[in-house]
Amino acid sequence: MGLREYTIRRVLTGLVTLFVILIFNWVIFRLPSFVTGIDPVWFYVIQQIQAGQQDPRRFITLLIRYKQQWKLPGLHAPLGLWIDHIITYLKNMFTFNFGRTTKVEQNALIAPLLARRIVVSVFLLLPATLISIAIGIMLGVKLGANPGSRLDVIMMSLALMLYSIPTFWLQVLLKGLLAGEIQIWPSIGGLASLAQIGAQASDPLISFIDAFYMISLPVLTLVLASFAGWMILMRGSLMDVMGEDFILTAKAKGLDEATILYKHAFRNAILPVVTGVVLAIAGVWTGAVITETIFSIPGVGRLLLSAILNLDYPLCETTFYFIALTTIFANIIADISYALLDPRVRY
Amino acid sequence: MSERGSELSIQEIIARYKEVTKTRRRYAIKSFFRIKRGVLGLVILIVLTVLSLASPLIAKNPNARVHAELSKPAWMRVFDPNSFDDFYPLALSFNSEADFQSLLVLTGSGPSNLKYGGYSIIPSGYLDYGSLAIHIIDDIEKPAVIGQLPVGVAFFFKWDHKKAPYRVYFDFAHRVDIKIPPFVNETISLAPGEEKVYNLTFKSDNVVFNNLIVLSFEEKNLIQLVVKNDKGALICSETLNQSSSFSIKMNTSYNYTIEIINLGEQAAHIDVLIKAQIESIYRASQAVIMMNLYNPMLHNIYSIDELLTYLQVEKKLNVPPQIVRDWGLMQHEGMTTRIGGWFSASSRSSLQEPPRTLLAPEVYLQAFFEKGNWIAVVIEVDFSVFAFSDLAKLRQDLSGDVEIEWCIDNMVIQAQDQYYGLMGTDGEGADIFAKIIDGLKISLLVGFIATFANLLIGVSLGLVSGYIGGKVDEVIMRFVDFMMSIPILPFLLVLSFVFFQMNLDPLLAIIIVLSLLGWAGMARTIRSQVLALKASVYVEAARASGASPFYIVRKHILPGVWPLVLVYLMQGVVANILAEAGLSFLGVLKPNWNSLGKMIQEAAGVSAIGGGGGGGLRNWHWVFFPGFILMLIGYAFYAISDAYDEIVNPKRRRRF
Repeated sequence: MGLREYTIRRVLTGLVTLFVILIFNWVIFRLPSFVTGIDPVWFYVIQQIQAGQQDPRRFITLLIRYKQQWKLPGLHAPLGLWIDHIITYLKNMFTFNFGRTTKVEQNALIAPLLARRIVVSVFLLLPATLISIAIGIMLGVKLGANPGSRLDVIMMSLALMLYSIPTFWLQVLLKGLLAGEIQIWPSIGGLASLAQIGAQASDPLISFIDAFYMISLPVLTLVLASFAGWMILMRGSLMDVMGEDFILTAKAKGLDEATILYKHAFRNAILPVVTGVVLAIAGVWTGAVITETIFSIPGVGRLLLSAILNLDYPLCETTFYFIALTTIFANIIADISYALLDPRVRY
Repeated sequence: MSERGSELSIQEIIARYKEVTKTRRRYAIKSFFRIKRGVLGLVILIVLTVLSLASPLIAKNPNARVHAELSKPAWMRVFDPNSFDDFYPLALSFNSEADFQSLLVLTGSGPSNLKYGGYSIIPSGYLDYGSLAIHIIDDIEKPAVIGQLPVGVAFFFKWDHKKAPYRVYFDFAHRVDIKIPPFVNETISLAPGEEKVYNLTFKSDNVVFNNLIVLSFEEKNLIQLVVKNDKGALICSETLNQSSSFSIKMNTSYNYTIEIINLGEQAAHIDVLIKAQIESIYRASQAVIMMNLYNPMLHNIYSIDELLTYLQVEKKLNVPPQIVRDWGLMQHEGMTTRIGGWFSASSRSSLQEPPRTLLAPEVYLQAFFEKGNWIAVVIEVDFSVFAFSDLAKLRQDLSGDVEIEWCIDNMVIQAQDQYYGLMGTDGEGADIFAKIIDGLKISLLVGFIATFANLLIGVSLGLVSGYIGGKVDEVIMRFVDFMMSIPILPFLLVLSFVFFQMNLDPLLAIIIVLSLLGWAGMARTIRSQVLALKASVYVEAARASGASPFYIVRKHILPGVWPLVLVYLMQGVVANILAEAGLSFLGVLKPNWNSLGKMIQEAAGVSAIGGGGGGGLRNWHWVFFPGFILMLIGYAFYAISDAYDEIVNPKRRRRF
């Protein structure tokens, strides 16, 4: 089977997975109503009343109105109605017709809201991911070239520590130390004050530099939390390659260390890392829930969290769908790129 | 059969095999103990597990308040030359008669009809040992005047230390009772069929109030109660066969007749009590708890202005007034008092909360404590009458003075040190160490149960998929692909949200959520390992000799997969513990146990709000220790799995 067939098959399986995720996404948010036996519209109206947004006396009116407006079948509706409903849902999801939020940001259109959040997430996570990959690979090469050296032992112990640190704890501490105690960084944050500053100083360059300054602390914490993983991956991969026969041959030919390391070993060792890199860069679009929460950065992850905490079902569905879609795509690209780069891969 | 075969019987071969296995195991254990990392991890793990299992013994109630809020860890005393030797430089409790004798009752006077009527000590009060009752009398002859009567209790004690205490904590139970003279309070005897009539006439005009009628008699009697007003309206007509009480709304524009008729066949002895329920006239407006200084030379309690004068004139300190008002010794904490029943009130006076922007205000506070001054603790309550209310007019219809009784019991005064325990206290004053080991128990439980579930799913799917192969393998691997392409954290969030909506117990929900995820990678790795083992010669030999698939998997494949499973177990526990902490941190599941993640979240929230400059690290211990323990647990598991991997993995095996 050639690369073309492999690509086609991978894309097809990806589409199947996407379809399954869509169905899953549809089921999971309706699960509470299915299990408790409460009509979802009823559930929604009750929530609205509990939140004080609706008059309890209009309960029945609201129930009927929402049912008509959303064309939602009741729990005991005939099967045909449910199938129609699922088909409408699928159509909307594939055409990116996500509708409006119910609570977050006052019934905003979801698609532009999500787009705005994606920009912020990418702005935060792209530098963080690239820097941690770069540092991780550089250190990993250094350690993998001479395993057992003092640097190796120190860095590996550090990596084990960093691996077992809860990221949010590290972030809270660093935020408290650097933004609260020493006050080198702005304390509240992320991009929240960007608009304000932008309004004062309309110079786009200054706003841009300012934005970079503000995300630098979250980026620093993210780099600290994630470079160790890359380092361990790179080190392990390089150590495996260094044990191969062709390295021995190269050494026997009398090539110098740097040539062996970078021309022969590194090129082979980087292959397994590529998959991870592709997946990590895809993760940039999907945001980081915890980091965004701690530094109050309005990204995709925070959007999902606020959707969940506010019981905003349409937004929950859309965000989760978007995140899953991105991950599936990234998986496909990672597999194909790996197949492209490594001729040994059997399809 | 060869000669060698005849030399060794099957039993001997098995015995030798067992011996080899034993030696190998012993060798593995020995080489494990040669790896320092692994041993360190094992020690940490054992210590933490034992601590968490013993947490019910060490800390019976981990959430109870034990010391001043946000106390630092006790070992930090080493760095503080001014610290006390004791957790409580002063601890007093008042709950017996003798204790209350030492309290001083303070009264003021106001332009009020209320007057102080002395105090008494109730030998055995509502609470166990007796309480202090302060009497306030409302002189009914005088009209109600706007004005308050301040009443308080004070306790003076000598402060011997040179340093101000970190916090002073009071706790006391108190109760306000109002004794209103009844319109009627007598015992009457009625023959069968006889009736007794009470006429209520009022001096005040158009006041609506609730009148309480209580009839107490023996159960064999049958009594009728009829209440009418002078317009002839029947307000109440009840036939009673047991003692009863009625609250009847009355209006002083009318006169009322209350008839009590004996319908029974025997003579009845009835206790009749008729009184107005007018407790809402009186108000104990606010209890003010003050910490104050008492200078024996002046015999006077300082006011804020006097304190300022003292500092500025005598001590020649340039004190901004704001410091004394906000951070000084005069910490007033308001506390609303309610009438009837015992209420617990507590207050914490902070003495040392220097604002960041000013230079060390402790200097000003220190000036007082250098001389070993007296400290007065005062609880002061202002009683007043709602002079303009309709009900206040009803006072003129009462037959005697009203007595208000303010009781205090179980009073505790503690001057507290800033340091406590191994890890300090949190914002509620609970011991952080106790909370951590209590939460760690659940963390480990969640981690292990979820990981075992993961292993069960992952290993069985991996084994089935690898060993059977074909269509089954294809289906399972597609499913694994599907699971691996789901983003983990959002999926965790979504699932826990759904379970939370279904009102599942958060602990159960989190275990289910974590069990359902995190097995996919394991299944894939185990499948490839099984594939490799399946191709080996001994499996083929076993198959050729007619062994059943179950036997082969059990005897030949599982032992080869086992090391991988153990490594996954170790790493999975860490991943699950951290996932639990992360979910609790985000607050989606709202855990009802002392989750470490929740603790970090609370601490971060408080330091973000309370700390100067948007969340400094003044309360660092509260944030630091839960995460540190999580890190230790994670490190222990990783180190053990790493050391184990080093022994088992042929690529990494050391040459000794």
